Amino acid sequence: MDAIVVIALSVLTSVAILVLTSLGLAVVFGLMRIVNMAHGEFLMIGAFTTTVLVRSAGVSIWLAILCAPILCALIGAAVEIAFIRPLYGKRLIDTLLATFGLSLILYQIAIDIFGTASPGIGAPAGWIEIGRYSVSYYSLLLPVVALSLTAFLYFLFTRTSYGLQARAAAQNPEMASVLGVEVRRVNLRTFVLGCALAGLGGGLLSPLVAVSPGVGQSYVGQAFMTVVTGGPAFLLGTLSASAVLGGVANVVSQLFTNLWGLTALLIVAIVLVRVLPDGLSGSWSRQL
Amino acid sequence: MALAADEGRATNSNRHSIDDPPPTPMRPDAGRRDFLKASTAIAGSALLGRASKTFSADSKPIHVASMFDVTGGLSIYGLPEMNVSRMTIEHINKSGGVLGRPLHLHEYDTQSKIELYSRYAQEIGANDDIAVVVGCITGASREAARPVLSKNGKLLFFPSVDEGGECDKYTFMQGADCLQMETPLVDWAVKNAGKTFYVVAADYVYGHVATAWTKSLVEKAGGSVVGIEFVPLDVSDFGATIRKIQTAKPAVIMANTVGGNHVAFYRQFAAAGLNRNIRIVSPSFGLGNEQLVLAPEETKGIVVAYSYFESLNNPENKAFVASYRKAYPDAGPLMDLPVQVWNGWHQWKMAVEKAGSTDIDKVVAAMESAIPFQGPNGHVVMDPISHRNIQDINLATVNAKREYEILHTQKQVRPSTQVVGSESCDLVGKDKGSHRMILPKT
Repeated sequence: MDAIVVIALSVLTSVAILVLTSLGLAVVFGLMRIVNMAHGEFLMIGAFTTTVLVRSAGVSIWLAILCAPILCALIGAAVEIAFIRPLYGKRLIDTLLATFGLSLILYQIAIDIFGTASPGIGAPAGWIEIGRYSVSYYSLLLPVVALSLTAFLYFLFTRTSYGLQARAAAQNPEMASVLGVEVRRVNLRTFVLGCALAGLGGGLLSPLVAVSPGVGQSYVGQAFMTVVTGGPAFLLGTLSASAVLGGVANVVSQLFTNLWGLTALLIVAIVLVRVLPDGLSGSWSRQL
Repeated sequence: MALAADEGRATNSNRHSIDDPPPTPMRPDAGRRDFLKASTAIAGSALLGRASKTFSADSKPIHVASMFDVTGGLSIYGLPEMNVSRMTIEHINKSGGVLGRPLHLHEYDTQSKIELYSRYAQEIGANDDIAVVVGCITGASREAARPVLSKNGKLLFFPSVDEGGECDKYTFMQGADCLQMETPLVDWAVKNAGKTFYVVAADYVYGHVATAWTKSLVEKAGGSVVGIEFVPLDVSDFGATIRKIQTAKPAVIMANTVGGNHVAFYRQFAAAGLNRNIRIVSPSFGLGNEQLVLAPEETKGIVVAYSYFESLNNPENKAFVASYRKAYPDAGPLMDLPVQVWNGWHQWKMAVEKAGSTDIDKVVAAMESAIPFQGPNGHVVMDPISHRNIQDINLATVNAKREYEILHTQKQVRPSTQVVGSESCDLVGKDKGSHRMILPKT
């Protein structure tokens, strides 16, 4: 009985990790269709911000996690103005190459600053005993945060005027600007929001994984898979895809080994894309 | 009118027009190739200019190479190793080189990609000048490069700790093997922690072979293995693994983790509070300075066994650490791998000087004459039968200050010549022409 509870909680944590690392990409790629290959590096910057603030400045871990999206937002603004702005419209696919180069640059800068083995932080708050198992509180916190973040973004994009403008500017920039939406400014804000979300994901992940300059690169592939299989509804589609892919990977890992868990995730992603080429949310009426 | 036009064309015959036949193309590649050769030669001799100050004007350099993962997930091992390789070559050149000739180091960054090991091994193999390679980190990368290098008559010195089983006349293994490291770990665990073992190992050749060794050593020590988990190198979510460990309830974890992503295992293990009751012994923890990446409460009590620790008290180590810190002041603590790079270059140098040439078969014969060397990790001598180093093995634990405290030293531990469950390798006897790797029956 306690095994089932622990497995269920473990599934929730895996899904939450997938959601947190994919939400930023859902906004940048899912909504704006900017292929952000540097998404992993923004995760890494967020993770390092948290780790460095806790280790070197003695800041409390919760405050440090909140600072991660702020720094990534600033860097995201610079990136948008310098790299992405010239590519809107007909050249959006070239963002793949531009952000790929950016990711190489950011990765090497991180190695030059931090080296390959820099001090990290442990998970705060201890653990809880469930039967003969123990589960860390922090891994239970992640699903709560992931759900709240998705709910907040849903509210932001459906109930606020910024959200309406952001979706309009992404779907039909010319018509939106005719109707008085300042497309350039709105796009900048949306990209910055996406980068901030990536940074927050990295910061939240930093007490659970080894933070090194390459930490983001192992999450980029899965993030893209999740957003693509999620489909046009960039928020709820990503959430559903995370649930399906993360759930399958975790359950198979529990029953067999990690290798089969990863294999199952890939097979499910392939099958989903084949069977539902528009993504999980392709036929939903609400495209959010 | 036509006449006038013809005349016009005739007088402008030196002007090119669209009707002219295409000019015979100048071979641009030849010009570029020559230019590249010349500029590389100039750059190369400029690099040597400093080093060859003490040598006679006509002493040609000996070309040597190093292949390490300086970038990518394995850069935690590769960057210090390449740095020490460079430092060792400079040191050797400053003290007169080898046979009076300076060494020229070719550095190859394999970016944690196995295919680059094969590619650079081909490049090195095709380069007639290169005499020896000190390189490779994982067993998988070594097996990608070794057959290519061997076929082309290039010596390979492999500085990593590894799983054993290599049976190649042209390969020399510097680091400790599973028998040398896991025996003291298993013996210590059975005496001090408990008899039930759970194995978490990286999912490639090293992890599988090391686990085969663990199973046989644990059985011999009277314990039992209650679970085995192989984890691919790019996995960092250990939730499932930790739950399975809690179901199996072992007393000891034998952790054969490799690479940056696996460090998350120790973190998540401690986050679930498991490090209070279960001890971790590991033949691979610390090689990438994991004890610095992790917090002290996550690493306290982990027991490791290596030939080298930075705190070893001998004059060679003090000199080695001083030069390393001077050359690389921002580098982290030194672990076993870069020290074996230093040993490798020096053992090769002594063999070449004994053989009087860099001819590969003469150098191999000289290496097999077991010339002793005093390295930073103590007395080191090559065992001719297995081509592995006989060296001291120290058992140590990580304390609350994230330093290693040496618990026990075993002097001059012999490496294994027998692959567990399979055949033995005798490189001066029955295997003296062999170029293969023997895998155990897992």
